[in-house]
This record gives sequence, C-alpha cells and structure tokens, in this order.
Amino acid sequence: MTYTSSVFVIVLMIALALFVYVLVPRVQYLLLGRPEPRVDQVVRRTAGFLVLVFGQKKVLKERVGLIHFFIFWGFIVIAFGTLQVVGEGLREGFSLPVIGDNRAFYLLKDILSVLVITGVIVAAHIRYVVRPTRLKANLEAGIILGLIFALVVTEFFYSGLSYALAPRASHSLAFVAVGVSHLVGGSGASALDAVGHTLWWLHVVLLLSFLVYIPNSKHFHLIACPFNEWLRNLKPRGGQIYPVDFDAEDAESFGVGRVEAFTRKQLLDLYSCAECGRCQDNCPAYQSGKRLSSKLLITKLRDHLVEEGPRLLRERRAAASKSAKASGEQAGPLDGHENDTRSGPADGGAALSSEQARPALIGDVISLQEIWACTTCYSCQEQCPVQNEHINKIIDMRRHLVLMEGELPREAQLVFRNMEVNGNPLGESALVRGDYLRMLQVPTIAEEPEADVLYWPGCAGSLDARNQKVSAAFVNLARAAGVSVAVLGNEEKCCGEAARRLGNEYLYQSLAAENIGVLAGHNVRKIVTQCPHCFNTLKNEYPQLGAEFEVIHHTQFLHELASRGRLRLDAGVLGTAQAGRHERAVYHDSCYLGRYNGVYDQPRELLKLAGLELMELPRTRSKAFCCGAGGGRIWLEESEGERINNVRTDEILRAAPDVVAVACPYCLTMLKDGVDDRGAGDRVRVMDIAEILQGALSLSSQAGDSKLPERGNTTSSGCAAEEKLVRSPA
Amino acid sequence: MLTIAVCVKQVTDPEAPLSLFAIAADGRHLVPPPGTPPVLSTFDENALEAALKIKDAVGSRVTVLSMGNKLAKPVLKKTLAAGADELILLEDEQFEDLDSNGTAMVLAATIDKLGGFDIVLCGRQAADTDAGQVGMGIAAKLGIPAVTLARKVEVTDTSVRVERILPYGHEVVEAAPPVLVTASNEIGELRFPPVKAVIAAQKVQPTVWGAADLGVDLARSTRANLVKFFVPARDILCEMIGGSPQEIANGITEVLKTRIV
Repeated sequence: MTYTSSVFVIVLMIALALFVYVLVPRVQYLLLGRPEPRVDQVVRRTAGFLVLVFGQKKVLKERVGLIHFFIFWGFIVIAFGTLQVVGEGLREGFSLPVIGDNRAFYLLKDILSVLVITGVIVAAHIRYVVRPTRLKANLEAGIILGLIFALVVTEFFYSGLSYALAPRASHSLAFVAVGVSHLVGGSGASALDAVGHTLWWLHVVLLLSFLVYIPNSKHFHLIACPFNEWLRNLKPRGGQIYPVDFDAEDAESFGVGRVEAFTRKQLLDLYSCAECGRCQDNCPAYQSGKRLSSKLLITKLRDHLVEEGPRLLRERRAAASKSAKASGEQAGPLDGHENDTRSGPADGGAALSSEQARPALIGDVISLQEIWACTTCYSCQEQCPVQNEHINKIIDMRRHLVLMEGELPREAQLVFRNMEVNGNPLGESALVRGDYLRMLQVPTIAEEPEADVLYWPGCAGSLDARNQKVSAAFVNLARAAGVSVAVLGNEEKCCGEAARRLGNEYLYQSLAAENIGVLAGHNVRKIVTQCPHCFNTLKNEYPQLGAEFEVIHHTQFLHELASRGRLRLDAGVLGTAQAGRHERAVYHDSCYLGRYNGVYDQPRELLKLAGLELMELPRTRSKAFCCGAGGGRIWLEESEGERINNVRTDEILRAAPDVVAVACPYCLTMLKDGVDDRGAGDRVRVMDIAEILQGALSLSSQAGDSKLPERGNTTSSGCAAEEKLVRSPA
Repeated sequence: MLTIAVCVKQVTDPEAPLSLFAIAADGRHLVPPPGTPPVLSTFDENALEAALKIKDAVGSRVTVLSMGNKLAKPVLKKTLAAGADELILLEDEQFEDLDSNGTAMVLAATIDKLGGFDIVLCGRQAADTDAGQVGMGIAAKLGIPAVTLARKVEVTDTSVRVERILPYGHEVVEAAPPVLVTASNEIGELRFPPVKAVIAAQKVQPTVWGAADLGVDLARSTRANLVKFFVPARDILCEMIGGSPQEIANGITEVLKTRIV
C-alpha cells in the first residue's frame, strides 16, 4: 500500500501540475478582456445558479437534454464513488463519511452509472450515426465520450471484483457490482486481486487524463460554465445591450475591433460553449443559408482568443515592462533617447510583422457578412443552455465598424442619415409625421395633457401606409372602449432602436435623449406603443438614459381593455364569414414582444376573443422563428441564402391559415411580402391584431363611433373585415 | 502638397414638404416650416467626395469654405468628419440673401486670402436655387479655367483630368492647375464618416471670417433684386358632360375643338 500510495501521489501531482499548466494560460487570456463588474444580487444569482446548474433547467428545454442531465448527475455521484474507490485503494478500510457505507448511495450510484453508460451510447449514436448538422462528429467529442464510458466501466468492474473478494453489506443493493461479482465469482482470489489492482490504476489514470484533457477541449465548459451561469446577465432581456459613454474622458475606442476589447464576461462565454448547436438550430440567419452561425460565432472567437492569447500576453508584458522602464529612465533623457534609437526600429519592425501576421477579428475571423446578418432575435440566447450572450458581441463589432471605421452597408448609411435629418428611417419629412394621426382627429398631448394614455405609433404607424391602418384600428378600438388617447405628433421621433442595433449608438442616444426630453416635458406617465421595437426600447433601454415611463404594447393594452369588459367583441363577425366555420389564424410571435418581453399569451387570447380558431406554428412562442427584420435588418438588403421572411412564410403556409396575425409593423411588412412572394396573397391575409379586433368590434360599440363607416353586408368571402379596414377614416 | 478648396452651401432640407413653406409678409422671402433641418446642398457633398477621392489617391489638403449668415456649425462640421482638413466659415449679416455674383465675390476673395488652391471644387448647382452660377463666377473672378459637370476628377503629374458629362456621353478635359471644377452627382455620394470622427469634428473650432476680414465691398457689387415671390395661380375648371355615350363623345369633341386645340 505504501508503494501504491506514493506512486499515486506522484501521479496525482503530475496530473495536477499538467492541469494547472494548461489552465493558467486560459485564465490569463480571459483576463486580457476588459473588466465587467457583475458581482451583485448574490442571492438571486445563487438561486438561479442552482436551478440552472444542478437543476439543468435550460439543458432540459430539449428532450435530448435528459442525456446531459443523467451524465451530469451521474458524474457527480460517481465522483464521490471514485473518491471512495481511490481512498480504498490507498488505505484499507477507508470510508467516506455518510456515503462510504451507505447502501442507498451505492444503489443510486449504480443506477446513475447505468444511465450514464446508456447516455454515452445514445450520445455517440446521435453524434456519429444520426449526425445532426448542429453537432460536429469530431475526435474531440469521441475522446470525451470514450473517457466517460471507460471511467464508468472500470469502476463497475473494480467494484464487482472487490465485492467478489469481500462482499460488503453496503454494496448489497449495488446491482451492477453484485452482478459483476457473480460473473467473476469462480476465479481465484489472487487473480481477482491482481486484476482489481490493475483496474484501480486504470480508473485513476483515466480520471486524471480526463482532468488534464478538459481545459483544452470544449469540455472546459465543465469549469467555465458554473461561473458563467452565476455571472449571467440579470438585466431585462431587452435592456442588455451595453451603453456607450461618449462623454468619458478616455473614450477613444468604441465597440470591439480586437478580441481583447471584449469584456472578461464576454470571453468567459467563449469557454463556456459546449458546442451543442442549439443556438445554430434556431438561428434565422443560419437556417436561411447565411454564413452566420451563432455557434460558429462563439467557437471561432474562442479559437481566435486561444490562438492569439500567447502573443497578446507577450505584447502586454512587453508594453508593461517598457512603460516601467520609461518611468525609471525619466531622470536621464539622454539615456532614454539612446535607448529609443537603439530599440526603436527593431521594435517597430517586430510590431509591424506581428501586426501583419495577426488575423483581424473583423474580416478574417468573423466576416462582415456574418456581422451584418444577425437579426438580434434572441433565439440563440433563449436556447443556449449556458447563458451565453451572442447579441452583444455582434452589436459590439457593428459598433466598431460604424463608430470607428465608418464601414457599413450603404442602405444603413441612408437609414442613419434619414434618422438624423428627419427623425425617421423612411426619409419622410419630420414635419408630416403627425399628419396621419391628426387626420384621425387624435389630439396631441400638448392639446390634451389629461389624456388617459399616450399612443406611440412609431415611424411605421405614423408614416407607412400599411401600418397607418393599424394606427387607425387602434384609435378606433380605444374610442370604442372610451379611452382618451393623445399622441406626440411631430414631436415624436424615431426611438432609435434600429440605429442602436446597427451599431450607431451615437445616433441612438441622441434620438433617445430628444424623445426622453419631450416625454418628460409633457409629464407623460403611460405610453402604449404599436411597435414591439419601440416598446422594448422605451421600456427597457431608455431607463439606461435615466427615463422611467410605464410602457406597454398595444396588445397588452387591448387585452387589458377586453378583460375589463370595455371592448365589446362580437366573436361571430369574422368567424361566420366563411361558410359557417371559424376562420383559422396563426399567430406569429414578434421577437421583441415574445422572447424579449415575455408577451405570449395576451395576443393569443385576443385572437380567440375575436372568434378565430387559433393554430400554433411548429416554431412558436419562445422558439418562434424571426421574420427577418430585427436588428435593423429590415433596412438592409438580404441577398445571401434564402430570405428569412420566405422561410417563415413557408412554415406559415404549411399550416394553411386564413389569417396570419402579427403584432409588429416589421413582421407585418415582412410576412406580407413573404405571402405575396409565395403567391398566396389572395387566400391568406396578414393582419395586425388591432385590425382583427377592430373587425370583431360589435356593432353596438361601433355605433357610438361616428367615424367608423357602417359595416358592409359583404357575404361572399372572408374579406368583410379587411374591407372595413381599408375604409379607414378619411 | 496638392491643395483643394471645396465650396459648400447650407440649404434647407430639400425633402421638406413644399406645401408647408410660406411666403414672408414682405413678399420677398420664403419661410421654411419651423423645425426644417439645415443640410449640406447635395451637389456640394458630391464635390467634397470628389476632393476626398483625390486625397485618397494622391494625398492633398482639403479646405472647406462655406458662406452665409447664422450657419449651422454642427452640419458644416460634418465635412471635417468626412475627411476635410480645415473648415472656414464666412459669416456676416451682409452675406444674408447674397446673390450668385456676390457669393462668388466673397468666395474668390477668401481663396485669394488663403493664397490660392490647386483645385477649387463646387457643386454643379445649389439644392435650393438651382442657379449653378457661383462656380463659374469664382473662376471668372480668380481668372482660372473652369470645368463644369464633372463625373470624375483625377490628378496626374501635370494636370487635372476631368470627365465631363455631355447629353449623350462624356468628354475628357485636362487643365493645368489652378482649375475650378463643378461636380455632378455621378461622382458619388459623400462617404459615411465614422461616428468617432463626427464626435471629434464637433470639438473643432472653425475659422470664422466676416466681410471686413476679407476686405470685400459688397456695396459696390451688383446685386440681383428679387421683386416678388408668389405662388402661381392655377384655375381648374370642371365641366360635366352628360347624356348617352354618343352625346358624351360629341360633347368632348366639341370642347376639344373649340376651346383646347
């Protein structure tokens, strides 16, 4: 035993030394990033940490997550079992407190071990036989699966042999160990002892190899992930984009153009990725055939960090020693000068060549195409089991391009110019912004400061012909419910959402500051928006600039009115329009309403109230597929791969609805385009929920509204509602 | 180093809806609707882009000149953000409502005061008046050649080579500097400046000169006299012709014959 234990100690020391040797540089690379304080709300962080790590909450969002769940828990229990085994091997009669002689523990361990073995086999089958695109069938994953498999099997046999040599009461329920002991029962004790000894060593060596292998593989997530989960972003999802302080004294560089400009937390994300590919499976850019993959974004950045890390560390050390030297030599300017001339050219040359050899983060590692393809739909982050934040990385790189390089798509330039000069992305004069709502005889807040709510139609609801109808529908519904509504009129400007997501934080902040000033000047308390993008920005992003308003989306507001009985809806109006059957509707979740702000139910309940038969799309609610317009993408050309809106439209058309209900001007535009592009415009209508509700407004409530025309007695088709919408108040 | 001057004009946003403009009480001024943002005249932006393209190609020092009264500095500073090296504002009450000739006088005097430039670039015409006179006026007063309607400007070792737009194509004109060139939109849109440069530009204090600094005597210059601004009256007469298709056709023919044709 002394021999075994001293050899063991040496082997253990070597393994630990190797582990530290590979771990330390990784940690140093992490520290190259900018600090980002995230240690706050300790209780909330810890509670979530427990649910996410030990409860495997997000891993279990997909059924295959069960495999991970079993392997994860199996590993924890087996780890204690291994401690016991190692202890036994070193000292006769060793027993861990509580579990060392606990029958239930050994039973549990054997159950979990079997599940782990099964899980490993199923995982290998998925990865190497089924081969879904999201998983790489590479050697690395195979090594890990093999190691886990071998670890469990060696432990099984070691326990079995031990049991055969000396049956222990504590192991009587450990069915695998008992089973193995029966298998080998006939062998001689000395043979069993020899084989057992070998197995023990095999087990130990495998375990230590695993330990050393971890930091250089995607299994580094074993170590990084718990930290990442604890440090997860606790801000509301819609307010997670980092603000930029343009007034800061040392503000020289904005956005991220080099990997070390990311924050340490952003770099920790890279290590935490286990390459499960769930993000990629739900990424609208990737799923429509674009180069961008949310998964590759992370893994490419990680590989780049690890490749560049040593050089960056050297450079940083050199810079540090140089500045130390420089301060030390201040006393003798002549010496300093001499030193300069001596080392200057050589240094310059070295720096230049290293600069040339270094792959550029933007361009070489992540292409412009990838950076501009993201719709910021949040699906990657929603699905990511380890709480990685992809979107901020994209936005940070866009910021570098826009703020530092002035390199951006031409369409984005035009949009920025329009927003800057006219206060809207469409390029309409700021002086006509309020015209449509004025035509609907909606007063401005200046005219009616006591109005119940301030309606924020946004750029689309004010200026885009199709979405103006949605504004009209909302105004009619509010009137029918007896709610007084006012608008800002020409004082309203673009909320700046698209500018921010396209990387122009400066423009966003200037628009936001103007809007906040105007809203505060009118003492606005409650804002109802038409657009989920305005909604999110006003609600979750303006507070970063010191504004606090109650902001709700019109679906929430209308739901509130309907549930308080103030909207009398006649469920039959739309429903009877087609030969006695209810019209069938699908609801397409807006990313910024659903995933970002959790508004999933109110729009659906409103549709049911309107008498529609609601069907769910295959990808719905938190897994809903983006229309392709978010992240400022609505203003950019989409020439790569398939158009995202068409991909979504195909999914919608397979459900064969009569109506596609949306709650967002972007979705409305994109899906209407998609439906027309697929030649289905005559049988499928794309409508905002407010328009649908207006169509279902009972006659008695309409009678009170002089501005609504009499309902037409169209009987032939389901167009009655739409025709009514077309006749918006003139 | 090659030196380039670019003359830019600040105008009222040409996208502002015409119907909202009003004629001032004196009948001699157009009043834009309140809140109309000032912008750079678009052809002048093209002229600046032409200068910056030359700067990219062969290197040069680009000076932007703008004349007016109560100029919007943040708007003009964008020329610095885009890549101009210097901004000189010519501001004076006397410069208000100056006509093309007076404007050319002031700009030519400025160019003289600065010791002349190898190339002077202007937009082909302003986005508000569309007169297209100032560029030629400057060239005349400086006594240098002028090439108008450029779609491309290049600098060779000895000359400035301009592709000049013609109704059915283009011609290539070469001139030895100093030369004045007016730019057309074909030259390309003004580049989008990085926001960092925009922020930096806002901190720059441009040189401001008045009439006295330039020694121009506008009292002695000829000045166009605007007599009256008015909206042309337009009458729409509508006459309904009824009856059978035959009668309607006859009726229309009769009207066309007797009153229109």
